[in-house]
Amino acid sequence: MSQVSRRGLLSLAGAGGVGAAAGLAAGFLGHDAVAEAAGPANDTVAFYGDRQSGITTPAQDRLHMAAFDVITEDRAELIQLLKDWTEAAAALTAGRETGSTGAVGGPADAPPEDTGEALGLNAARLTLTFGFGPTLFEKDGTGRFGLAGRRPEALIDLPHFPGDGLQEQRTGGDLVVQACSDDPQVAVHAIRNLARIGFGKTRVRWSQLGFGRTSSTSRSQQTPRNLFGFKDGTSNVKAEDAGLLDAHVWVPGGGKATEAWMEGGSYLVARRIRMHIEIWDRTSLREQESLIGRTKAEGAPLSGGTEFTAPDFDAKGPDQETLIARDSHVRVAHPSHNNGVRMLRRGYNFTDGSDGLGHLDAGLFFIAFVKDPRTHYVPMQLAMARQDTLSVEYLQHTGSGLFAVPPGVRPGGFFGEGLFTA
Amino acid sequence: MNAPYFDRQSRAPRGPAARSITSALGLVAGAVLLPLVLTSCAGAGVGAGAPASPAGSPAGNVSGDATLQKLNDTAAAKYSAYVEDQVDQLVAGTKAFAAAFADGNAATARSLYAPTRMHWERIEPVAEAFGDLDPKLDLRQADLAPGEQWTGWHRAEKDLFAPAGYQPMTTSERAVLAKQLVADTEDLRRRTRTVTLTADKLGNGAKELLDEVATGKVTGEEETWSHTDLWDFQANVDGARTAFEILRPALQQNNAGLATELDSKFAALQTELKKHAKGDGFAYYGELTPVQVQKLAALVDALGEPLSRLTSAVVQ
Ligand code: HEM
Repeated sequence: MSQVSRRGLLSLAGAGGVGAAAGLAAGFLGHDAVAEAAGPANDTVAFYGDRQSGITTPAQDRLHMAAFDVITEDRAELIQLLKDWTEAAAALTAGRETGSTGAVGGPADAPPEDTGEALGLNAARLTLTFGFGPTLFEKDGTGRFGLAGRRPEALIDLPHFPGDGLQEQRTGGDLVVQACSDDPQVAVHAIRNLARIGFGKTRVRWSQLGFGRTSSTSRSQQTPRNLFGFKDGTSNVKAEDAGLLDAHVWVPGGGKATEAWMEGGSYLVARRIRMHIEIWDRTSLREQESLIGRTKAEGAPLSGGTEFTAPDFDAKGPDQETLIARDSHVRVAHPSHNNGVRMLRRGYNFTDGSDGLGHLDAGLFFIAFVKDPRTHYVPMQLAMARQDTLSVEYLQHTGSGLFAVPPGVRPGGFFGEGLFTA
Repeated sequence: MNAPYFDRQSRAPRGPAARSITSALGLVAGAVLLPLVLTSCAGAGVGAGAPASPAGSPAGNVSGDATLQKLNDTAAAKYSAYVEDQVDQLVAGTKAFAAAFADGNAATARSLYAPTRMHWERIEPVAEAFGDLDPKLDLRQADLAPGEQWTGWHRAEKDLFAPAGYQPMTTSERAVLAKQLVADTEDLRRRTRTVTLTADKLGNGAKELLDEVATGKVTGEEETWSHTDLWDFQANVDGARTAFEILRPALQQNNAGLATELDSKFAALQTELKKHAKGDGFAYYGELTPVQVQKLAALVDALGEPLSRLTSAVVQ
């Protein structure tokens, strides 16, 4: 691993008067101004710890997520890959280049180890979060990598939900990496370099960019907006809610011995949800608000109050109808109608070009972390697919994945180590 | 709440598909009332098309509000008659279809499938208001929840236009499905008789019909096996256009420019759709080239924008 940060390296080059560095240095200065605003100490998110970062970390502005198929069947090769990825992730999240010679320090006749597009950029709060899909454990009924019998019970095959239009090439995957950063170039650089390290053992199955967060995961953050123009994340489970995190997000201890390696981990649900934004834009403001159950301006519940006032689903208007419609998204998704369950949502807006029919292929890349998708995701999604008019009329799920996210890594360890050692 | 047609609560998943070409209007026409409707909507069927000029013009010097209210009440009454007429034809057509299907007379059933469903598609938002009936009658296989029983038109569709490797239904399964289809459709008729329509519901319903075209028909998703999406397309447009024509007197008074714009956008879409007419019906979706689909989609969007302003223009 290169020991110098990408910024330090460039500063040195600049000071040495290397001509080629001048152009880079200019770009570097531009980014530095941004970095300063955040304060250098805020550039990086701690990589090692009991839990993986990128879950309760205050949601960064950009996403690049990729799912991989493992193309080797060799257990040792898989373990080596996880070690290599862990090492690279430690460097990347610290704002360093990958490999011992980085992007420009290697032999001139060899391709550089690091791809280089993040030179001059700081880590921009990059986090890399790793997870294992059901097909890593078994495929077509046969165990893989000696992991037969190790697949956690909560790592189910998600059922078909009414209205799903899942595309094979956007669904599933043996491994997943979620890269979040305040700088899209940094997030893409991380995924690209991990994919590169994986060549020969993995191939990218699908990858998704998200250009803007649709959730806040900390009370220190402002609530952002999704592509329907509504505040999203208002009543999310947040980093400060330790009790809720333990009750709904982290996998508790005391389960089956074969699943002890997941203790302190979580399950990541990913759904690529196409939003019919053109049709939405032709919908009246009143209807839009009624579909969500909140006001567009402030995000207050239609039963009254301000953004963080609790919704009152029984409050009625003069017409004796409930102020928050029975089929509104907030009502259908609220814990009081879902057996009390909560989830930590961490989604991103996306647009992937256009659909060939004159519309943007846009939507919300939904990400949620839950302690058990059987209780904390599937029932709610089923209810939405049936009763939530927003879902039925304006959304279509086009991609899907469910992954077991193991707990965090200690120095010298690697992601998911417990699965391979215990 | 400004629910689209009636009560959103009850709405079930996406809509259905479409059908025959017997001009909606023709029928309607026969149905008495609505001279207006007749004219324009009629365009519908593959046939004609030219939108008609509005019949009545708003009354004279009554106060604006009172006049508008009267126009809107008349419109609601006319549209109710349209719905009634379509449901009656749907019941009759469904009985014939169900008989052929149950008898194993597949060729006849196939030929009745799309034309009969057009009556459903024309009034789809009304039918969707009955949350339990819509899924029973019109659920696509992709809309099923795990373990949910599949009944209705699309169940029959798969059997009639079977994909490779499909295990056909038995005679008794067909009989049960056919019986249920007729019973549910008769239930629909009973219930639509008690529905109260208002001008805003007409306007929103028109928009919703176009939305259905944009997300389900122009993409070829509705009729997975029969590929008769263009029948549905035509019927949705018929239903939207009928609502527009019926609302025209109020619209003319409040926003004549929008009326003109809608006329030209409906006409352009109808002209393009007519190019794909074949015999009594239409080309199958799979016969369209990507360029042709894109053209239709662009015209649907062109109409969808002004159509989305119809409700606010007539209820203002
Ligand atoms: C494109 C898709 C979606 C959009 C545009 C959307 C939008 C929103 C908005 C605007 C809110 C209110 C603000 C807030 O409390 O965060 C909300 C809340 C919520 N959504 Fe979604 N959502 C989408 C998909 C989903 C899905 C797939 C699920 C889960 C299966 C979900 C679960 C929730 C939950 C649990 C809440 C909080 C409800 C509460 O406690 O009040 N959403 N969503």
